[in-house]
Amino acid sequence: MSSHQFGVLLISGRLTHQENYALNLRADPRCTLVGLTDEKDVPPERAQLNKQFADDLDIPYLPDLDEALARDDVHVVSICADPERRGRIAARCADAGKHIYVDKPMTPYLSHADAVVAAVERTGVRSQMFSSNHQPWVAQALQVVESDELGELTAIHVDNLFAKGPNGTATLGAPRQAIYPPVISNFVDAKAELYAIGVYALGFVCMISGRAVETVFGSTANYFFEAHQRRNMEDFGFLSLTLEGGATATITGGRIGWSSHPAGGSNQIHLIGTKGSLFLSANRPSLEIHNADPPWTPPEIHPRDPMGFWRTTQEEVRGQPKRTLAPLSNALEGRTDASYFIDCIVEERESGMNARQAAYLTEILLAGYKSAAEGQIVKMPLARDGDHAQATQA
Amino acid sequence: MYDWTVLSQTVSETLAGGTVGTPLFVRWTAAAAQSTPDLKPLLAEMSTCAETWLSARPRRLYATGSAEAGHLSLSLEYENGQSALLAISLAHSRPSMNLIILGARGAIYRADPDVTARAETLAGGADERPQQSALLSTSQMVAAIDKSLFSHQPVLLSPEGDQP
Repeated sequence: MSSHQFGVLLISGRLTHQENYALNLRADPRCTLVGLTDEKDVPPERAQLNKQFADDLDIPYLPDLDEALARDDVHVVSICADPERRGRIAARCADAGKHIYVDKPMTPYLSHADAVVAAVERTGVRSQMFSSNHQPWVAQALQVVESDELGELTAIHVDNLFAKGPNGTATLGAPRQAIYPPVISNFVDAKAELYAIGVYALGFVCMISGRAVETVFGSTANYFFEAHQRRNMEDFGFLSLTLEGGATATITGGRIGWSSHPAGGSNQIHLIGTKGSLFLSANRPSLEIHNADPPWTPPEIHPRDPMGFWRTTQEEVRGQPKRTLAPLSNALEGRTDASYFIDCIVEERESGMNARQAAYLTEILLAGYKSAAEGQIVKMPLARDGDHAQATQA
Repeated sequence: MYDWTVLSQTVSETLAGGTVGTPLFVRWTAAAAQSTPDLKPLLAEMSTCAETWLSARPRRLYATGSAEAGHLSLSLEYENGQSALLAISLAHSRPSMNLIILGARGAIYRADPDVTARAETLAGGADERPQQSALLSTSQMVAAIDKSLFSHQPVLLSPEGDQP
């Protein structure tokens, strides 16, 4: 095997983002999928979903994580375990000397985030959390800021709003009573959406501004889904940040419902500088398409995935893509996030979204939840005095 | 000529039609001010628009940025749970804006980020214009924004003005 060929071990299977990451890693000619594993004591349903996905990919299911990590033919681990388990598993993989590619966010626990960073930096492995930071339109935003075309960056506003899920079911009329630590877990019908989606927007802010966050103001809401309300998890939230050097940033993150956007959702950046401003969107420029076909309708509700989280379940209910907008993007320009990580390993350089950066995003998000619950501005860094998130059985 | 009054009226009429359900969140960023003294009155005007669209009273605000630096952001939370995230900055040579209104059953997007006329018309004489539905007048809202900027803290609001 050449030094530029990598054996990839998958952790967790169906009904996780592994459904996407595994395919991207398999498509990279430098990667070979070695097997799929997980912790030995995962619940039977999780084990079954893991076996199913190993069968889908025609790779072996290795039921013992430690034995799988001991294999010499494993160089990279793609970690999509449940949020509560993800950080501790990432630290174990790094301690085993494997490069780690981790689902987003890396962990809801500060102690686990710190442990992953320590393990990665102790062993010298490469690390990357999945993000959208390397999409061409986001890279363009970074390029514009670095070119000084807008002058000094004074503010950055980012929106990541996913148009998925059967909206219109939440009970409205009163402010949400936010709690801290927040409930961070993947239920079949709900996730903490500021955490799960807002992390993309925060990633943009940190990369494009290149500045540390000094203070965080957060607000969370239940606007769209009864399930999120019942689980005491927000479906929408926003953060207002002050950055070092006097700049400011705002982000929104949420799941707003199938029918609330002509494409996949709002994914956009408004840059404000001392010499000018620029608005960029993943959906612009685009072609608008109107025809005699029946209008798009949401997919049937899959009992195991009513919010449309996962690829395989949406294929089972024959969810169709929206076709009204066709963004003018050059598919050849974009490399997958997974291939960007493999590039980092080959070129022996740090990913811009390495474990340290991923841990930082966890800390900002937790500061936002703390602010939302206490009604106060929260200063960074957070005190290391607890785990800051509630573990919940999914 | 582009005018935010027309935008405000059009949004209000669209919301009144019920096509997106109860309006819940306003996201409005505008690089549209002519000069730094315009920033705070414009932000207060944007707040008035948001209050009208949401048909709700603001209960708390938090402001960041600085007029001297040419940029202000404003977070607003309303009595019934709605919220808004507004920002205003200098237009420079190329004004731009973004507007999203999320409703319980749908959303409204202003599709074009270009601003075809400066927003100075809103700032001039704002307090003389009727404030039929706003909790605070423009000058009261500017005072509340100033208080939050000075204290670096959220400010509770009441019809009599901001509260400590």
